[in-house]
Amino acid sequence: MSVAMKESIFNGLLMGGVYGFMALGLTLIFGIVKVINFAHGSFIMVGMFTGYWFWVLTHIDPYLSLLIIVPLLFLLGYQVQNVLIKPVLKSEAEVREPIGILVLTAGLWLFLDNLALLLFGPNFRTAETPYTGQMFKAGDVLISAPKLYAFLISLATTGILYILLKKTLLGKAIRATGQNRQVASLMGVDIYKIYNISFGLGVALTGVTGALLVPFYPVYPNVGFVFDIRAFMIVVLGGLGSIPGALLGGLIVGLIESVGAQFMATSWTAGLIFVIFLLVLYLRPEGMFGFKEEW
Amino acid sequence: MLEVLNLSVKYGDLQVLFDINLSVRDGEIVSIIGANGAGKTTIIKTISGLVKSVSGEIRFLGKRLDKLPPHLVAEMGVMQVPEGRGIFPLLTVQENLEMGAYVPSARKQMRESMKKVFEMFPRLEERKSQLARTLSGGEQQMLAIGRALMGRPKLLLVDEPSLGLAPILAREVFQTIKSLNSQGTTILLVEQDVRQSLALCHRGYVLENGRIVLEGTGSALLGDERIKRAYLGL
Repeated sequence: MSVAMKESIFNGLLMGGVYGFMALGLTLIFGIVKVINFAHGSFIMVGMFTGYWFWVLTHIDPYLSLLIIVPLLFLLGYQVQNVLIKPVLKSEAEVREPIGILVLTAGLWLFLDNLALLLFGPNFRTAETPYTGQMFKAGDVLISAPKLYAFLISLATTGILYILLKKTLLGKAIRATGQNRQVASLMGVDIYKIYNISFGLGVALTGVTGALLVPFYPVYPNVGFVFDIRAFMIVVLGGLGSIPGALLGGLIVGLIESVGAQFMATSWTAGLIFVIFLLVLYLRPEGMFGFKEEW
Repeated sequence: MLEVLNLSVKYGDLQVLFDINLSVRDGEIVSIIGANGAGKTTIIKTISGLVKSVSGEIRFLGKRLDKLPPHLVAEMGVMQVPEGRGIFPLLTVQENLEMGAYVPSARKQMRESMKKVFEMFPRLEERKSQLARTLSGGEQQMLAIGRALMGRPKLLLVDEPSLGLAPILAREVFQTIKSLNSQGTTILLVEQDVRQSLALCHRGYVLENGRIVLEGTGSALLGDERIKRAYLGL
């Protein structure tokens, strides 16, 4: 195997892990609150700008600053759900196709992107962190250090999320609410609080991705859009609401993108991803890890 | 223990309950019987806070329930075995039971409660690490009952427990309800199987088109000519 091929596989896996992690927030919010969050990419952008300004203004290590960024974005998500989405959710509780929430999250997307444009202008910004451009050598293969760190932190955070959801009573209440909100409330679960927490978690995860991208990806107001489409595809590939599905979907998309680029122009790899996406939808509409009965 | 006074409920413009008055005393099993669509489940849902009333009052241990959201009703000690069982399909049997003990007052006693539930339903213990969706219909009904018991209910609402079960299993479920009651749980039962539920209960109410048309002790209702004609096919 050629060095270029090995490098592209490594790179694809690393980026794929980050993509999968990026999609977690989307799949979590959909799985629990049953809201399709069109502002997902914008929250990635918010995470990126937060990480960027944190670095520029304080020069705190970008990975250390996660300890501040995570609670900040959790609060943002919590309040977005509590103040903006909850009233619409309540008024549409009996509606079969709650369109109002889709319009709301799409509006939030436009609002956040344009707010960033207003505040920071359209320019691409690159944060010159100590990790930017740093490389590891493994045999004859060069690996980008910030991508490796992003991959590892993504993996670790997913592990923490997994333990939270599987082992704690809060996590069980979150999953129970996702599976049957009415009965969960009969068991004494304050489902609207669970929604707030889930949305907060989803946005915090999204924000982590954004901050992890900062050392190796330029920041600009509509950067979220690039990731948005991938995140939606990954989530559908893996099965809406499924965490392992999102991770596996991410790895697949990352690999296709990176390895495909060895054989064709990058504009074609994007097309290839869509072909595979359509194939999965055709053969297994519920996604790789989805359950039919949830529909 | 539970008093429902002049309760009326509407779904949009459609009124489904008219001036319902009923009571459940400490230690009783009270049945509500009636045909499909008479409004039985709506009564249960209104008590538990899922459906809001337009007028009337619901009092539980002297406190108003009708303005509370469902999770606060649960915290007051009203637990439910919902219609269609409503188990959490992708949680394990054990996790389902843990969710039953979610209210703070029951949380501390989770371990003992689970031991009791497993004594009552050994099948659930055998399957405690299985996902609840892999259980049979009868086992799911046991799980739904066990889960409600985990909350240490002062009042247990049981909604159509025999629905979709084979007659043998249905009888088992009614036996369980009876023995729960003899151990001190107060029960409000909504059921289509008129014969079984009247035989089981201390008192019963007959619901027709959203109105209570008849009430009395279980045995009196079983002997009533109108009930015999309309519900028992005699």
